[in-house]
Amino acid sequence: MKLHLAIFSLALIIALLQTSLLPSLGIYLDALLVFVLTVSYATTREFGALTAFASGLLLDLMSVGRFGVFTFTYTLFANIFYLLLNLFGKKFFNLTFAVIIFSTVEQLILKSPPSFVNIISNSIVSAGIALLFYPCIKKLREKLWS
Amino acid sequence: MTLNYRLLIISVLLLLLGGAAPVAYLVSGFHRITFPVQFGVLKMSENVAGEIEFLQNIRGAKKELFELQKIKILAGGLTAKVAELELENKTLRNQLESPLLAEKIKIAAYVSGISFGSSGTNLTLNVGKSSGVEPGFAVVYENYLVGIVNTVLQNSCEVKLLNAPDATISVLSQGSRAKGLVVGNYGTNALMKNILINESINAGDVVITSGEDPLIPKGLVIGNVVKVNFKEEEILKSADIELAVNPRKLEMVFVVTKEYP
Repeated sequence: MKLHLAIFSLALIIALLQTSLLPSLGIYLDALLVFVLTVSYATTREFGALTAFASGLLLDLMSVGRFGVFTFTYTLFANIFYLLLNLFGKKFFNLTFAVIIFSTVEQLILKSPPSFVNIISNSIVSAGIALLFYPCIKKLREKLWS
Repeated sequence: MTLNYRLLIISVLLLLLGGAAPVAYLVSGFHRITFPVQFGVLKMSENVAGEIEFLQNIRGAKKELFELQKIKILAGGLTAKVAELELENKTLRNQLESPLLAEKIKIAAYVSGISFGSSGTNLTLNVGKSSGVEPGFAVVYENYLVGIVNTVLQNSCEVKLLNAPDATISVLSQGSRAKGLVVGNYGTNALMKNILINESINAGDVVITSGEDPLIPKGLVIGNVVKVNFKEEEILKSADIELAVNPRKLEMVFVVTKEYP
């Protein structure tokens, strides 16, 4: 339960930053998606899906777009991520690769018209952020998982 | 059905119902809480960004301050130079407008030194033979006689002031026209002597040059009579003169050449 609280608190902070601070600095990264994928990678299938659903819901409540878009996208991505992970295994389908793929797909779907250079650069930066998130979440899981 | 699929179905339902009025109403209610928080975070981040920018600018500001200090020093130098030029200009204008010396040829000179010796006070000027200065020339400031050129070198000369005991100048009292000779009396005073007993001279009279000395123009002010010395048994009387010019305050003087009419 402590891990749930810690992860959701982190998701709330990231959602808050993503909808206020980052756009004001000209950064349009979906850091919350990176967080969701990292949590999914570092924890269990159910925990990952729950995090994806809750994070998507938070983002939907904090943004002015159509309600439910992020909830659906994140939950769907978390499920597909596990399917691919089961199919190819962690050795071939690692976190960096997953973040690049899902980040690119999300931008292609949600950003119109998509700029190819921006999409690629955003995806690469997202992969870098995932590498920063991963050790923190792993540490949290080791300490708080009950 | 596992949790994953249940969550996926719920999210699809949320997406489908997202446009419905009751959901939109609920979401707008939630926005009333989240938007002020987001705005607060944005403002806070702007403040933090401002602080960071300020800290980043400190180095630049330090460099600018250094440059400004350099400019200030240069400006100070220029201001001082302008002030000196103004003073010089004023002195030259006053000298040119001096009625007695207006048509005479004068060489402007700066006082480069002052010495107080046993033979009185001497001024050193920055003009010499190369400027046409010769011994015996009168040194003036506006309409006042400062001294007589004594020793002349190539680019400098020494001026014997009126308080020197061997400086003798023919003078007269401006009011009574009583004639006499002024000789130095050390210090700041001089003595007007050889005044005939029947000549009238009083304390407060202005003493001027008489023009009898070939190199000293007539009418230059020497000083004022302070006290008249008279004894019954003598046929000549004398007077103590307070010199008009304080050599310590002189910066620029003029040497009058002999080529005056």
